[in-house]
Amino acid sequence: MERSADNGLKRHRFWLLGVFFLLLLLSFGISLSCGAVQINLLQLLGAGRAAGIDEQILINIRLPRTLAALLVGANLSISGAILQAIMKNPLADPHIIGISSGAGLAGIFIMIVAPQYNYLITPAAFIGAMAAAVAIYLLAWKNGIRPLRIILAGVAVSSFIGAFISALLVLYSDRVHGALMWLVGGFAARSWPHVELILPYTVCGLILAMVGSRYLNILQLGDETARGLGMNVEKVRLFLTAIAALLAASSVAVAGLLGFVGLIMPHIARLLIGGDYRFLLPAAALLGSGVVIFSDTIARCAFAPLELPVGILMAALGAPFFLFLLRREL
Amino acid sequence: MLELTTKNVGFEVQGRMILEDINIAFPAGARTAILGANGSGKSTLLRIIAGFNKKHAGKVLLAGTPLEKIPSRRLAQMMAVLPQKQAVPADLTVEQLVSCGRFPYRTFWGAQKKDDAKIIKDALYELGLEHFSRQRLDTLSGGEMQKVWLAMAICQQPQILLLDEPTTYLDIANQIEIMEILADLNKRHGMTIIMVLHDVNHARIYADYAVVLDDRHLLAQGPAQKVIDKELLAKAYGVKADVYENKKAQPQTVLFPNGLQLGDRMKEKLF
Repeated sequence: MERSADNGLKRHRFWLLGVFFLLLLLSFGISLSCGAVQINLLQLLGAGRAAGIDEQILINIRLPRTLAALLVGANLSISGAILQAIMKNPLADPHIIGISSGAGLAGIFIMIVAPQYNYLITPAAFIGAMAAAVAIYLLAWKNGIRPLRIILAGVAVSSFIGAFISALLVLYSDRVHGALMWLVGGFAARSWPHVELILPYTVCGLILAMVGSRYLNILQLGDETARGLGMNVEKVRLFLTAIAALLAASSVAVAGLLGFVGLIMPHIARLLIGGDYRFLLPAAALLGSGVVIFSDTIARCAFAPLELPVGILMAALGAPFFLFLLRREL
Repeated sequence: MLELTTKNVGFEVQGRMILEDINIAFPAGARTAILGANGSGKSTLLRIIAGFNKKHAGKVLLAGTPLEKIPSRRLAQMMAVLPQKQAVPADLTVEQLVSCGRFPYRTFWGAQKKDDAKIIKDALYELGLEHFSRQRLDTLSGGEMQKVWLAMAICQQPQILLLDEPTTYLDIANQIEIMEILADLNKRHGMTIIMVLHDVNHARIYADYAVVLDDRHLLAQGPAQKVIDKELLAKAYGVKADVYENKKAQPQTVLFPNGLQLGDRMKEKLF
């Protein structure tokens, strides 16, 4: 783990990160060039600029959408990786801290009850997500946070909020379509304002998460051991949960309730690069971004002109993979 | 050398007393065994002197300073704790876990000291783990795993080492090996060792000092050879045992002739 005999292992892991980065670049390129209009990126780079309409599509539609997918993928994966460590539960993901139910209720409320304020969906979802996370935190607090209590409080609050979501969907069944798209999660019509919203969270969250990675390494050894090593377990857990909540809330605000990324990408990263969080977090971020971009590209193109929400694809791919993990690991 | 003392330490959970009025002076530079029946409060006492349990009555003093006044990192540089078995991520390597012992010496941004690598290497070497360093933790046996934990504790460069039943789940050879390693740490580094033990024989052979708890009270404390005798075993555990002098082996060992026999106290409880 430290500089010493393990240099070979370390070099190996830097190599892997490099490979993940290349995969991300590849899916980024594919995403920019594929779609209703095929754009030849190499030609474009060679000529310096493309024909007017292509450039418009690229700059105003595909680039922001792909960037949004990149940031959301990174945020959700890192959030999941952090939560799995601090909850000491391989099933932990951003949903368990109430992010999705809170965002879901706020977003759907505006969509269905007050559709004239549609432009408020993103900020409202963010506020809803944070409010739910804080509520779960307060409910789970009893001389500090214990992982099991936060998971159970999360389940309870989520099903409580879920009741209201269902009620809204039933009462306003004529307006359900838009809400359904939101519940599934996707990047349709995501553009620069969304990128601007999420970018600061991704940047800050990434930096803080990397600082926290050494603490995660210690925390995954168990509370007692971490305390014995002089770590203030409660404080660190509080701080890291807050980072995870901000990362997840900002991505839910942009992409809706995109499932499985936060649950599965950390596991894949861990299988490939091992349990050292200083490598695991960047690996999860790169893989998460790459997979979300790639899935979104398929969701856009595979059934053209029909566009699937990427959430459907992620769940369809994610669930079988998750079952595979379950059989392998547990 | 750092001396650890408890002053009127007590602990209560939901109205039930777990420990009451415990006054112990753990001799610095010695090996102390904490003994007592299940539920007598041994582990609770260890958690309190480790600083894990802060809601106790009374005081724990480290070199005269109350434990809660010492910053947690500073404390971890002076005192290492090995809790009872904890689940650990299977995909970490031996060296990764051992190097965690340097955590108390890191700055907030994670800068490591120059000699970290050497300290880690020395700890691995000291416990004969140098060939295991890149092995995953889930490939290790129980005895090897316990040595990895010990190596991690050594990396903390503590003056006091606390252990909760360090030989549980180990076979006889591994039990002896772990106890010998602790004896060695005590002798060569002058490390104060305080361990909760189940095996009274271990306590007699490997401890200089014994602290015996009985139903939340301090039953006895003093030199292990003197304190652990027939009467004490009857009182603390409710068993009839004899302490035999073995001419070949010093010190004496505790044996149970004619198989195990419950003492009167246990019989009353059972029947």
